Amino acid sequence: MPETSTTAGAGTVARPGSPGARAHAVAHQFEDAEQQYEAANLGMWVFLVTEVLFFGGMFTVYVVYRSMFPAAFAAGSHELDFVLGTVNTAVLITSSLTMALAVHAARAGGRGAQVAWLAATMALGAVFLGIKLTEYAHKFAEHLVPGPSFRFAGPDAPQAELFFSLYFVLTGFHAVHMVIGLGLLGVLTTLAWRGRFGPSYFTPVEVSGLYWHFVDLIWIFLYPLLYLIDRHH
Amino acid sequence: MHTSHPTISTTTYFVIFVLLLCLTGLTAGVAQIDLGRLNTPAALAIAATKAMLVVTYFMHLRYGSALTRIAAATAIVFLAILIGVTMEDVVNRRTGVYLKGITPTQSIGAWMDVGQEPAAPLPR
Repeated sequence: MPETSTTAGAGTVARPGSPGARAHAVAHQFEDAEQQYEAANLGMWVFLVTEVLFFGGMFTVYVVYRSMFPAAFAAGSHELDFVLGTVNTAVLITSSLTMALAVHAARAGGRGAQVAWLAATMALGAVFLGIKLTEYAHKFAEHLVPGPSFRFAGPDAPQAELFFSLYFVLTGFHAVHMVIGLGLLGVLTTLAWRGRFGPSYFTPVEVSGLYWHFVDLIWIFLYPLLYLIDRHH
Repeated sequence: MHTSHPTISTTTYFVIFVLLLCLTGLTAGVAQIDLGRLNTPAALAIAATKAMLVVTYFMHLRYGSALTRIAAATAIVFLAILIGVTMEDVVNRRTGVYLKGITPTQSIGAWMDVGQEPAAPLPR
């Protein structure tokens, strides 16, 4: 695929007042569009670092209680749907691929490809959330939701309830991030449809892509930590 | 513009995608085998490998500036401090009271001083 962006000099396309009608303005505090892009990119990475620590607090609680109640966590994990969890992992990884291709398309400037890959990413995100909701519904039906109706056979019921609390909080916050991501993608799809992105300006697609991949990253760790404890038993 | 950001080819993205799917299959398969204490480290090692692939290629960190890479690396440092220092406290604690209404099971005795008198429950 031809990549015209590598041939143009930095700052020549998006300088304010330049004839490029679709060019994005460079805010006055930046030297040029390249620096503005770098700043936006760094800003998103710093935000994602805070997100790592946001989830990190919950992962810490998980590590502490799993180290104390390994048997109960294994028993709780066995109640999760291994097949749906694995399928959802594949769905989310595929959505990361389509997101990467959407960023690629935005840089290349092809409008149809951008909209198609963004729409595919949204569709896969929706599939993930649909499967997640199905799992949640099963857990409600099986009385595995922490609270007054929680039922768990075996000696470790209170400790297993702790596992399910962590399961719902971790996957719940992950799902909230997915919903926010879908909102971002919705806006991006509209903007891409209007032809806003191209070789000279694709920052929103790039940084939203970072966010989407981050949500995938969290799931990459949630999947083994929640679904795969002592599966061999 | 963005001359410092070479484009990753779509072929690379597809290769990474296939690798990620293979690693997902691998971790699902390895979990079915009894490796004793090594099951969790194996699962985490595979997850970390997948994470590295996503960060390096899908998130373009391979082509990111030094500043961006340092910022990303701080996440691992702070997470290690958070979990490491917390676990140091948990492992070396002797009181045995951790949560209202829930006392540690037998399994905790592996690294707890079980010979001590159990501590009084938390006041209600």
